[in-house]
Amino acid sequence: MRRSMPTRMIITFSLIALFFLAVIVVLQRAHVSDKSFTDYAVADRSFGAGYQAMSFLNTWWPGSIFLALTGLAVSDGVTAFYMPIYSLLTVVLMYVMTDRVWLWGKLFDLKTQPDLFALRYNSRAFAIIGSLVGIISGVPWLVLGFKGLGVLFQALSLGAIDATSAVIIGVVLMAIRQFWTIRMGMRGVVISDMFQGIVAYIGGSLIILGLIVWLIYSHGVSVTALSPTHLEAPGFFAAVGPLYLFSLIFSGVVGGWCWPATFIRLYTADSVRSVQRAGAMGAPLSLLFSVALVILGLLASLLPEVAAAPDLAWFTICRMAGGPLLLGLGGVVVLAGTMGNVDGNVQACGAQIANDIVGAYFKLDHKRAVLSAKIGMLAVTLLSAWLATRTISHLVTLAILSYQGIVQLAVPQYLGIFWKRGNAIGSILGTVVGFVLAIFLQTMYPDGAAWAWGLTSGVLALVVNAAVYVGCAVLLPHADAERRRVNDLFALTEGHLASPNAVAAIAFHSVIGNNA
Amino acid sequence: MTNMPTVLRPRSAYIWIWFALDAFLALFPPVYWVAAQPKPKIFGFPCSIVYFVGLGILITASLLAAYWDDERRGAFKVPVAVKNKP
Repeated sequence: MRRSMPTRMIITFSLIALFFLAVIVVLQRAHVSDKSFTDYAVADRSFGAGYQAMSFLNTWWPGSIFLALTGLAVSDGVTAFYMPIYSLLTVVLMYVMTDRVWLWGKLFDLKTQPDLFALRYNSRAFAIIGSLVGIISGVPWLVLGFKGLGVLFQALSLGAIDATSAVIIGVVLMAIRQFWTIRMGMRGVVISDMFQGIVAYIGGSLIILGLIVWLIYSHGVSVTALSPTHLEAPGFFAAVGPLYLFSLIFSGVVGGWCWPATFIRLYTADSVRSVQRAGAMGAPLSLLFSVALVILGLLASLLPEVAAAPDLAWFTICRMAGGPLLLGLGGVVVLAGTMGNVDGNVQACGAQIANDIVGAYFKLDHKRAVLSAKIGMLAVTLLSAWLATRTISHLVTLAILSYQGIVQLAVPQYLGIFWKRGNAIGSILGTVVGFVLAIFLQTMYPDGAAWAWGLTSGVLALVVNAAVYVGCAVLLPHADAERRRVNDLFALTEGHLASPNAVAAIAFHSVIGNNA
Repeated sequence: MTNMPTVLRPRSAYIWIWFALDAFLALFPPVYWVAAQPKPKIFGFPCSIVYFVGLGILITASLLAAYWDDERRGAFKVPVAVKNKP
């Protein structure tokens, strides 16, 4: 029986309303007043592996990935697998760097990525630069997240709502949701991530697997029926260059932990074990979810209705397979993923504004620090919401530009964690040179430079950035006091039992000590 | 000092080798130039799909092995990171 348009819209929008209501109930029931800024910013490092795993996934895979990954698989074939691969390698990177990052965080009460920079390089200036790069780079992606909800609501209305109205509905809904993010800080983000994550990635995976089975049995499609171009990733003779796929995966892996919202996840765990257990728990789900999504896109590319509009593949398949009910459920999983991603980004921006920018210039007690973070979150939410309602012609270009820029933090971050010789001058110079060069190259060669063999602007700039960093480390070695401080810092995580005096001495001599 | 974190002992060499293999198979261009192609077919599936799905499973397995190994060798049970006297 074919339902009328209003009936179909009631079904899809009711499912969205029910989910939204459930999220609010979860948040209301979980509310706990924060006792310190550490409590507000990183939930007092109190979460175990289960929460950590789901919180990471909910920040890592935004709701738009349902559309982006299926769309990429429909249009570009197996190249879309680069996302699952770099996402898994990012977890490997997390596994190997967690020991030092978490331990330093616990010992020195670090709350953000710039806090780590301040401790490692004894430089508040570099922490501020890192913080600004993270916040500025994140805004275009937040705006894209808000705008993505416009696509969601237009699809759920089956075209009855125009694009502008759909964006406004999405922006209003997400802005309302941020009330609880601002009120509850990190605790609210992580607890809601658990619920949203179960819906988005466990519920989403079940829908994806069901759709794959439906495509195989109802339409008789198979991967062997795909065209050779869909089964080939850019190789040695590819027009985009032989190193293009390497570039995508490499910048994805090293860039993953440069995002403030992702990095702060390392400080919400109650132990190193919880972070690493979360990696082991989350990786199989991430693998299943993302690989199945690509395979769904590949199979769906054989349907003319889907191939005609790759970006809407997710909604088209859901509607074809299960009518308004499955379309509504498909919308719920997208909304769940988007909420987790937007919440995480808004919270991390607020924490960095209070901790690393305002806190660098003013001595803030707990209440003032939390208030600064809340005002920062509100400002970021309102700015992103407002920008989402505007027509920004180069928004996607800006987002790509910001990604090429933020990966420049990878050099001081990873070399700072794994190598003792890097210094503040090298980290500042390298990051600034890399950031400017990445933006210059991306602007000059938006489709990639022909002479670069497929290396993207961000990767090319990373090479220069790393050369500057290493050059400064070699030519400008640490003074004796700084060398001792860095050696002591590393010794704390190398299996030696540290004395409280040693910890206190490092904290006292570093800029962290001044703000702790 | 019960609230102080634990310090891990060095990880097993074979886990590091496995992690390095993950990175090599994903990032060394000649590997994907050869493997991410439609042919040959392996068990009836295109080589590129077998390569990417197999690589994803390999990386996931390495994470599970690393965690299992850390638990087995008691890496998470090292008592405290900070001793009471300097």
